[in-house]
Amino acid sequence: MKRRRSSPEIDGSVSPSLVIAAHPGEDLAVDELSRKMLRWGRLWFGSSEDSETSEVHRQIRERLLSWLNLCIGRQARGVLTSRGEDVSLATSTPMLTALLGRRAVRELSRRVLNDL
Amino acid sequence: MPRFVRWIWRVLAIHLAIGLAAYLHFLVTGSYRYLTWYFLVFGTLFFLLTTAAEFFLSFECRAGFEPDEPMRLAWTIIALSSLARFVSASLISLDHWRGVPVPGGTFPALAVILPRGLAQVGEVIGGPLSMVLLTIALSRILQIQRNFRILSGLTRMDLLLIGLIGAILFGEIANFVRYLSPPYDHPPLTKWILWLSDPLLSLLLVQAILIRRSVIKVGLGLISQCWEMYVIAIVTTLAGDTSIWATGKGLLSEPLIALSWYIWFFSAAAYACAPAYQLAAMTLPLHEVAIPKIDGQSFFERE
Repeated sequence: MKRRRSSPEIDGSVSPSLVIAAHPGEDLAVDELSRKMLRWGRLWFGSSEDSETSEVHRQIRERLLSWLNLCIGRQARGVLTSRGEDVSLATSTPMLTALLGRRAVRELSRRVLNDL
Repeated sequence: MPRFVRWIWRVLAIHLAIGLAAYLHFLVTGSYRYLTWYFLVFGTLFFLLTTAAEFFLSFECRAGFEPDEPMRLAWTIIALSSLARFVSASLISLDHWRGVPVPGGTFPALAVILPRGLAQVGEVIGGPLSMVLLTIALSRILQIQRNFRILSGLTRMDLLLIGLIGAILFGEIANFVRYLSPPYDHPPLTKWILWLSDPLLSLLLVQAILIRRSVIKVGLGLISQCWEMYVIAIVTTLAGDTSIWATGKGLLSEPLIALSWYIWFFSAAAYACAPAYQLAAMTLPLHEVAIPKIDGQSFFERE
């Protein structure tokens, strides 16, 4: 039996309605995917809700800080935090990409997220 | 310290040690014999080596950025600027060797093949042309720094220095206008272009002050050391230019004049070190290195 679900965020009057054909068991996969995306989103922006994620965020933050110190400068953190934002992948990636290049930052991010 | 930077400073140290021996010989005997040979052979080789290294490293930095990235253009222009310095060093060295006789004979063989005025063409390429390119590249880097709020506000001392540079620049322009009008003869094109060296150096100095501020703001890292090297290169170039001016005015004694020639080696080494630092920062995440330590402990030690 096929069920049809439409995305609640998309207004059908202004854009073609997005209709996803869902098979049995797909709900679980979609839920898993959205959970993973939410987790990666939190990792990217550095927001934490529980003690487990806050520990991971602390590690990401420390790794990013050490890369910033080494590659840019010892007070590079101050440049990021002066805008009222904490050091996270989202805040540091644009500056690192501009100064080191996309290729280097891709590898740097992989190293920051390694084993997490 | 990055590998390339270590090599550049090692070569400079060995080169200066030889130079010191030649200088001491000159001080004791008053003879220019070994000093001339030192600058002609080792000096030429050093300039060729450092400018070639600078070009290679800048080109590698350029290759590290993708075509749509803003720093790609900056490093392309820096690579062109270093290429201009390499071409200049090659032309000037060829011109130096034109007058040296072939061993076993008295006739300088290169004098037949090479056209006259090579040194002046080299000076134009390595002077104003490379300076224009470097000014454009540094402007682009400053723009990127401004976008990321790395560019710090200027202190009163900076503003005073920039004001002073502006006044000197104004004086230079007034001098050009004076020399271009009667009763002075119309200067040849190469001389006219070479006059632009000082105003361009003034612009580079203003940029160096701005870059220095941003280095202070972000602290010591590989990228900030790259910028710092450009500041050192520009300041030593200014010191070299000032010594030429002072020599022309008869303000320096003979031993000091000879000593002032060594300034250019520091400038060449600093120009070569700048892209070496940038390249080290760009390649560090690509190599299998241990994750950097925080407070003396690696992540693995902390866990």
